[in-house]
Amino acid sequence: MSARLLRRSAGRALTRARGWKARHLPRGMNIAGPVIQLYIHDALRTTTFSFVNFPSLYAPRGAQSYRYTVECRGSDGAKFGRQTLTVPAFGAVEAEITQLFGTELPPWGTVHVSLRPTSFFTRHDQHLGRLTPHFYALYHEPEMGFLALVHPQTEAWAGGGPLEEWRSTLLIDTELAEFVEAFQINPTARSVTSELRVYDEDGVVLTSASTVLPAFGVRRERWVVKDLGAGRWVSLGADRLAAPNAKPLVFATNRAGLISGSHS
Amino acid sequence: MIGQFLFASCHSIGFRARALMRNTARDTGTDDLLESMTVDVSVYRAGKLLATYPEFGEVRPEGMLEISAETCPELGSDGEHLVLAQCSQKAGREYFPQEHQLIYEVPAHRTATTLLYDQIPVPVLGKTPSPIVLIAPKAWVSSELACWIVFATVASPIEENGGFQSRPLEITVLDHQGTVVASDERVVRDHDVVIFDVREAVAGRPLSAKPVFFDVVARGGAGSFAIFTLLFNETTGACAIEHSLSPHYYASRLERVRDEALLFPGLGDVRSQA
Repeated sequence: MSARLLRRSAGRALTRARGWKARHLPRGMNIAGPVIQLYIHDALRTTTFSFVNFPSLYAPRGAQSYRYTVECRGSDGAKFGRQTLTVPAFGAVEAEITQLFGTELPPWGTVHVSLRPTSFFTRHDQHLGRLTPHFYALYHEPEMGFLALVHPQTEAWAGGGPLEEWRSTLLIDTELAEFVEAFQINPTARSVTSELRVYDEDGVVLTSASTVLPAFGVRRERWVVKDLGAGRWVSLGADRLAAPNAKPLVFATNRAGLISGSHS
Repeated sequence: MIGQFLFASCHSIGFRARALMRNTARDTGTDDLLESMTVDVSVYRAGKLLATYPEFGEVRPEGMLEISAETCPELGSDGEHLVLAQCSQKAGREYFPQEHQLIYEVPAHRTATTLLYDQIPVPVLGKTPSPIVLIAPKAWVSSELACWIVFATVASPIEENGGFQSRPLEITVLDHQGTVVASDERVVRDHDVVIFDVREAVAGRPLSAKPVFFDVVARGGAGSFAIFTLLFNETTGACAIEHSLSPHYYASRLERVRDEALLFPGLGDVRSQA
């Protein structure tokens, strides 16, 4: 048999195995993750997460409760705590970061969110295939005087290398911002050196900062907009991201001290 | 190559929209392979075409083209507007991915919120898109915090439906226990914006200064949709926005999802009382 035929046969076998897995494995063995996101709990703001029991909404006939396990790590990547939340069928749970891990947690870090059915061996929603944890992060002043809403979708990255030479499409309006902050997470188990850059409208680097991001760690950079000497718009970039989807979250503080933010 | 970017002006709820059409290399810092991108713009109000700009502008590699009331005066007129920007690059009709940026400003407060999201494929003529399935566990409301779910949609006109999509949009608000607390059904025009006011929908519930969390779900429609959630603090003027993600981000097999999703106990009871 030629190498080409062998490869084709192996490919078919793999496809069949995946199909079998999707149809027959218990739900508890067919879930991706964990999904990682930044948390902030500093002098100005905190973070509230919302976790939804989406499998029950997608497959109401097989509805069951699910458990979200939330593991907290500090900016150095070290584990800080772990909590499990049960989300009833059709329900959703909101949890502020200090409700989960107390007030003594590091000012920023990551949460690693995993999903499990309460009944590991259930097959009621098996037709949904592989599931991925679904939650949102709201960064806000404690009384919601300002707020920023972000969807997480960065999975803990086990394979592949970093992404080289990244430029964000997001333009930051210097007329509305006094300060710009970037939080960059490393969703991998290896440390990565990354240089974050601020570009002007013509693609010229206005300033940059290089640092080693520890495994599962977070860095924060903050720039005073008037010191950048920029025109109307600036954007971020990096020589390297730890993983392809590990783009920084960007926060802008306006003259009234209100902070907005988004993914980049 | 071609793609379309649609957005609501949110003018009817007090915002000023600014879309920055971008032409960037995806996930890489090099623009060596990029070519210029042309943008055609159409503006609709209540399903009717207000204005069309077949050659609104061209975006050079790494450049930007703004669609706002300053460059497209119809966006400053009364009412709510749907903007459809069709982006073309090189020859051919196949889809190409490209992120663009939306900024919503609150002029009275000099505040703004922004997000990036992708343009979507141009619908195939004569083919009715699948109904949407939306799960938005990101609605917080209080006496001073408003929340809207904004649906911008375009559909291929079908004569026999008189300018309306063949399926309504069914929107439901759930509390944290999954109990239905409000429900609404909206008939959707082919080219239109539906703005669902979550606080108004739960108006029967007492609201204090402490925000209450809800999950908003929706199904239906027969067009292409861009959907996002907008939060607004009426006292400070602070606002936040995030788009929703397609179900395939969370479940890998969707064959039965569009038929079965959100048909859970209690929904029909609430609808029949409405």
